[in-house]
Amino acid sequence: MRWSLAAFALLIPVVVHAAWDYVEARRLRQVVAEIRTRGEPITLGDIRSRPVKDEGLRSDRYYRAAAALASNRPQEQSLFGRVREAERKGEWPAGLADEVRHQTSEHEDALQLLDRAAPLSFEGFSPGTQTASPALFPLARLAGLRTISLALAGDGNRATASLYAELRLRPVVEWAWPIFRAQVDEVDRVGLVLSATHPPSTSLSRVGRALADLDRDDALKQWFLRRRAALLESGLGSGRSGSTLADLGQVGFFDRVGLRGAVLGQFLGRPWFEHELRTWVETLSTVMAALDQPWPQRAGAVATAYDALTPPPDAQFRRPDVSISKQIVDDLALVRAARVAVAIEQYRREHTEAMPSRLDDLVPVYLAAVPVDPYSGQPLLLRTEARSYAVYSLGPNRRDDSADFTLFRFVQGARESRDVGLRIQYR
Amino acid sequence: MDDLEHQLRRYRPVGPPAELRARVVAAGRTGAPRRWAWVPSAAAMAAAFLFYVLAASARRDLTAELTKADRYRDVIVRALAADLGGGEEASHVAARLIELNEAADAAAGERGTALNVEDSWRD
Repeated sequence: MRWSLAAFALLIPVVVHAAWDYVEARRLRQVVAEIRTRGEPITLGDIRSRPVKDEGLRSDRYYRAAAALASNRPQEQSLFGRVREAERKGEWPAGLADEVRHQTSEHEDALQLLDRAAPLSFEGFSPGTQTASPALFPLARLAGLRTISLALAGDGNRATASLYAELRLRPVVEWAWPIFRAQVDEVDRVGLVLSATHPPSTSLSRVGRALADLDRDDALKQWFLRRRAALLESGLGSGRSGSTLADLGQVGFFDRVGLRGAVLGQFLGRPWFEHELRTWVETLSTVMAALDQPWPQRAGAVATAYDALTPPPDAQFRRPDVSISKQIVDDLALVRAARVAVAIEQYRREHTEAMPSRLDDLVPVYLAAVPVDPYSGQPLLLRTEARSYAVYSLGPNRRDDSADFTLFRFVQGARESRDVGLRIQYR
Repeated sequence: MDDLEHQLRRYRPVGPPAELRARVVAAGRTGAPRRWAWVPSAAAMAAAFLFYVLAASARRDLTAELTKADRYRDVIVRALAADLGGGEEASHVAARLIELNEAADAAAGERGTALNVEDSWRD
């Protein structure tokens, strides 16, 4: 009698665990089924296209080969740090331009392959070829160095061609690193190229088209779709015990109790893990539903949606998502400002270097419509000055600070200026 | 006849003692709880087993969502097989090459990608 009671007492937690396991697995399955019903992607495989046409297969090969040839070297990293600093200050120390030119000439083969790939339609990388992905970063840096070098040398034609290749590389990097947000240095570089050189209208037109491809009104929603798909993929796939636990910020807890990586630990912790995963997936779905609003409400929709959630989600979920969403909106504003700046330069080339009196003059020949400022919901602003002009968005403070692009503060590692845009010096 | 009956009655076995029935019934009563005591435990085990099986089934559905064949993979395998000369053997080789590359990607991803991203941020 006593033994049977003891056995029953021992089995009660097992039954509770089993029931909890079932309930959580079923709830998670239901959440995933709802996503599928809405026609939204569940995994990154649903989002990532694969090359099927000849052109796509060729661009796949060129980008991989270029990335392999541009593989990282420590001295380049140090050089790139100094270049970035010079770009920020707008001051180029003596010798730095020569060093940049030397580095780019060292990697001429990689850059030639990049130039071949740039005009081709990128359809994605073939399965099993993602080992090239990390090398896309040094390739992008190298392309940036070349653009700078050519711009400083005043070679407008080749600088815009290099800029075009850089801009075309951005969706490739995004394909390989779907939830990683690198700063849009190449868009910032549009300002340098337009200020330091005098490219012809045909070259500008190509850059304008590449920028138009980057101008995606649904960029925020697309990023969150990728974020959720990556979370589900790593949570339900092979990365269950690793990356998603890290995402959920629970690695420390699992380490402390000695359960991380242990089979028993994974088994016991599974319902809790699936509960956390489902909660986060549901949170992301709620946040995404708020991203259908028009600008400028959409610009702050992520923070607002998080604040409206009850119970409020952990700060570890909210903070990075809000920060990234701000970065995406900043990037979009910058891309749009760059599009307008390129259109203005095209206008000037064809109107004896005269400035348009207003941005509407660019429509419809150089732009289909004046792009909307995501922070105001109104068209972007133009400010003409004695030696330069600026195209800009009101920025996160949603105030016109007369095109003040100086660094205002760092918000979680990201630069923040009062206004967001580009200033182009007259030549 | 009556005499005969009388004689026989003298040798008829007597009935069981009166307390025997009580003893037997009592023994039966004490044996039953010993058997039934394990039923709740068995039921608990069955319930746990059932829940784990149901959970595994739900999880299988989830995994199936994730492991749906990449619709482009076949296209790539066919293209590679054609590059290798076509035919059944080329198809096997192409499929194997893609598998090996995917495995290499997964291993490389676990080893080095985080480091590389960190490096790229550090600039």
